[in-house]
Amino acid sequence: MIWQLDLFLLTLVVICGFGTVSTRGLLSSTIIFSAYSFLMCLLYAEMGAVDVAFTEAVVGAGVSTIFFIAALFRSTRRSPLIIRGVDDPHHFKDQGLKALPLALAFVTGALLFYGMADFPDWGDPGSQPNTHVSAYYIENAVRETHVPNLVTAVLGDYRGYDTMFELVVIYCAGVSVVSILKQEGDNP
Amino acid sequence: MDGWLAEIIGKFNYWVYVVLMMTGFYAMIRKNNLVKKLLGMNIFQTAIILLYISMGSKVGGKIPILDKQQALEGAVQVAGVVNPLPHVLMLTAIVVSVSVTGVALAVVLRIYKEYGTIDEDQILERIGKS
Amino acid sequence: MRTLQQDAHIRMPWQDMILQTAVRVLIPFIQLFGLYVIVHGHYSPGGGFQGGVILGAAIILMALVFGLRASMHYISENANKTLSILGPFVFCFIGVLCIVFGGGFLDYGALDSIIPLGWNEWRSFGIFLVELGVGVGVMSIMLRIYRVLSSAGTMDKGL
Repeated sequence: MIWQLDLFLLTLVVICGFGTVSTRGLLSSTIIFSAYSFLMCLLYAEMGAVDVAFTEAVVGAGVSTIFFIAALFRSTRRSPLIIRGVDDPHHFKDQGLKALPLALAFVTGALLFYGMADFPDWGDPGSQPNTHVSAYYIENAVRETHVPNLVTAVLGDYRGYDTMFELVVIYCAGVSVVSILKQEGDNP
Repeated sequence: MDGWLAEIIGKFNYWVYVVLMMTGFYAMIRKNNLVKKLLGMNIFQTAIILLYISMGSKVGGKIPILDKQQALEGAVQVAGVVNPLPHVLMLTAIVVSVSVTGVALAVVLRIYKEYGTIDEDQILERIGKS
Repeated sequence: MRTLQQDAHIRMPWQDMILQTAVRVLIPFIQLFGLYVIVHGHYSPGGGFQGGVILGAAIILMALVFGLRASMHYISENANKTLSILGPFVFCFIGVLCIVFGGGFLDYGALDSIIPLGWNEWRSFGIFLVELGVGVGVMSIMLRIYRVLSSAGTMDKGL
């Protein structure tokens, strides 16, 4: 938890985030989003979350980008090589609504700032999330399950229900995708 | 005044997370293109996951993979090991977010098949015409 | 300026020699690494989800470089459907097996009455078994979503 490295990575992440939102071409946005995912993976690893960093690297920067590019390839057919998203700001019918999204984002951000002021200091070992149940897991998990990786022990044993229903959610997503895009008259 | 400045500097990462969340939120409500909205949703999701992970980190804490012999024999310092519980919850959150992205992209492709465009204003025009 | 689709139509995937040669060598190693990540989830960062997505990414790579039909030849659509339901099924089966042998749902220590290894060791082994199920399930679902998205439902011609 080196705060200089953290500040540097957070700056890069914010730049990539702004780049994803403001780029005109859709393919460029997707590639900048993949870079954003990689930088997020580095941030997670720097904060000590190695399992989450592994998952974000494989899932966020790998498979999710491939899904986006596959969908973009299939959808924008008669367009040039730079797949251009029609992002014209003059499309708003009512001119008074032009500034509304930005104002809404600022108001929500201000409310969140006010709420975050109550949070514990970053990295405090005595804060509320770090004391009750997780202290039991850190002290007793290896003795009870003989698994050195605490995240796998909690995921597979203590919170096994969550993992089972997460698997069911993934399966339902696969079934939904097939049933949304199935052609008429195909074999199911 | 002094405590207020110390507050801002001590919690600077939370302000950056709020900026990231609002970037994704702004993209979701302002952009006309459906794929841009999905990218905004993904930015929002990863920023929330970052918030949870940072709530579980500890200053001077080691990663939650312990030495088996040491953990079986003696006591493990709770303050020296990073909190593993937010990591478990966020693993589920990342995988659910990619499932949601897959389903949302399938819906976008279906909309493209029906209306021939993935731009929101053009879709609304074509719905109004037909 | 040529479009992405025009180029892909003329330069068919199975005529690009450099990519094909490189990927043909790489895919077995990627699959081996995916299996390593699943099995070593107890001792290093990894586990079922990460290894499953790596395994799925290996076959998505095959579908990208050699064409969708080649990956259908490797894992057919019916085999993929069976594999994708196998993941949740293994999880629930082990849970119910624990109930049959006297414990609670997903109480791995109750399986000690079949093969006496020790209550703690059975918990470790039970986590390993469900991680295998999770890995297989996630691999097949990622492959399935990619196939449907890249062919827009037809399962005929990919990217």
